[in-house]
Amino acid sequence: MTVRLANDLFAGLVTGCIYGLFGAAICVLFRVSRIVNIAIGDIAMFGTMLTSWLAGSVGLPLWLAIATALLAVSIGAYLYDLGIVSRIVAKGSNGFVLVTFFFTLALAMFLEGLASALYGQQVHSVPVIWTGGNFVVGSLVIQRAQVVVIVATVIFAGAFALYLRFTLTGKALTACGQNDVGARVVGINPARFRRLCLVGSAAAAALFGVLLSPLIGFTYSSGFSLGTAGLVAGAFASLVHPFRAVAAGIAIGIVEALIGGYVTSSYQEVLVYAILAVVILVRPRMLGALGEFA
Amino acid sequence: MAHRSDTASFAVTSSLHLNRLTALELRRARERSDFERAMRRRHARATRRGEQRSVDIVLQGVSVSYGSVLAVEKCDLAVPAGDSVAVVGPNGNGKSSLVRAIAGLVPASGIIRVNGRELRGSCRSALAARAGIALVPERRALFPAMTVRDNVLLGVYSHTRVLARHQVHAVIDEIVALFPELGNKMHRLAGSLSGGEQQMVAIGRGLASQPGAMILDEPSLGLAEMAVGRVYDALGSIMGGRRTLIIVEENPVNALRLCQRVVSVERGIVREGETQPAQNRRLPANGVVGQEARVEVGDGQIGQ
Repeated sequence: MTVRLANDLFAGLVTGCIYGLFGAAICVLFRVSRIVNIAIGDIAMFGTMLTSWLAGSVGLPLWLAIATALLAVSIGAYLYDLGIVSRIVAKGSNGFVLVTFFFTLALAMFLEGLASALYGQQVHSVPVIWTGGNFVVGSLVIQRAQVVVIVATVIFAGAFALYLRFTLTGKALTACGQNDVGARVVGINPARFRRLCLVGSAAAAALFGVLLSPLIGFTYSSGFSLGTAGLVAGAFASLVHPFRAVAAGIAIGIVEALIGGYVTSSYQEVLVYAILAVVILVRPRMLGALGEFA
Repeated sequence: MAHRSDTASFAVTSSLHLNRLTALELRRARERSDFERAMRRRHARATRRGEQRSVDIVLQGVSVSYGSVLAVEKCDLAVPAGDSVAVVGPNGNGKSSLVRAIAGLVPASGIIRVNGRELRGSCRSALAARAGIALVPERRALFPAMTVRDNVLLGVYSHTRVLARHQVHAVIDEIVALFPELGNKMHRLAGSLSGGEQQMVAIGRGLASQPGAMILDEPSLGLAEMAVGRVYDALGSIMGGRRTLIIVEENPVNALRLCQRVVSVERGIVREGETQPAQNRRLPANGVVGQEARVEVGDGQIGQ
């Protein structure tokens, strides 16, 4: 019983870290620019597919394949900002949140189609970057890929939270999302911050995809559910607090694992949305920024 | 015996306490003078480069348009260093567009020079801020979900990206000296303050970078009478000819008390002079309008 519980809890922790990571990546971009990037999961999927193709079919060494894929994703994100997002910004702020939401939705669909056309419909994954056998702690079996995901979560969310809290540029990043005119008056260039965060969060998402692909494996259609799970985790953090999004993601992951393990395994995904629905009804203030800026 | 040792230890701790206090105060004072020295060095460097402490602003043929609507039409305006200008005129006639163009917030055609250097490039607002222009925008444009302290500190962003602790103290102390009522509100969220206090924070944010020119867009809009008086008192105390000052007001009574010069904007046309009824204003001691007045007096004396 306790063995199973421990394993379930650990699996939940890892799943939660994945949700939280994507939640944090969504929060980073929303905080600076009020863009809800629903395509974040698909960017991760595409980056993983690309890495898998480069390492497998092309035969590059793994680190070079990852580096190339991250570079390609970064360039893609930069062009997306240049060609689409900056034009929407130039049009003015009326309905900005909604318009950009639909454009990232379009990006998600585009990436799904592209991945399916380029890499087919089978499952792809990248070998784990930290090779070796599993760890056994008592009766708990821990895969190295799981450790990698947890470490990546702590490093990414922790470093970003510290950056936001203790540096002037971190505060400037926050300022961009709160008042565009105010930010520009003090000499901040919001467009540059937005571009940086869009490219950075896309590259980070692609890296997350590569790191967690040994655990879940990617098909062309598995990106979107990651993005929505991240959105739910982010919603608990008003879409602006990356570290809180990770905490929320872990909580959701653990609850999901417990329900899957002890109640029923067929409603795991529905559950995530049920939790969100309850929060919206009972404590809408938790989603403060969403209501305020939508 | 026990009693005596108690008193003794009390005396020791209290003197330690005192020592620590004075040490802290000494350090703060030293840090503050460090910062002042650094600022002086910066100003000295700027002077050597030919820049003045207070900046001059020159506009040549500046037009601002939103789509097909022309907000400012071919404006020529020179604001020498240390000048103070009140920009007056009815609402929706282009006053705000004019100053927003100077601060680089709206795209404008024509030439805008600050200290002789033209502002042009991809992010003109950042250039203007770096050149020493601080705009306090209409409706203040604070960062509502950040603390007052962070709002003020971001004011130095155009000059430095890294703030040491003593610089933080120096910036905050200066603002608190100007607006003591903000002293115990530094950790409140800016959005939770009253309108008058928010205006003070916005001015503090503008002053944090020690700008050579302050531009205020409707600083008294939506404020109570008392808050307006407070804001203008503070402006009077920090300006005093040391900085270039441009104030945009639809109701210019207060601004005219502070400014030497009046510029009116009507239907996008910028003119030197006034449009307001004369009883609304008092003649300032010096400046363009005042000089005219003095010439008349002089003529009269010669006639005698």
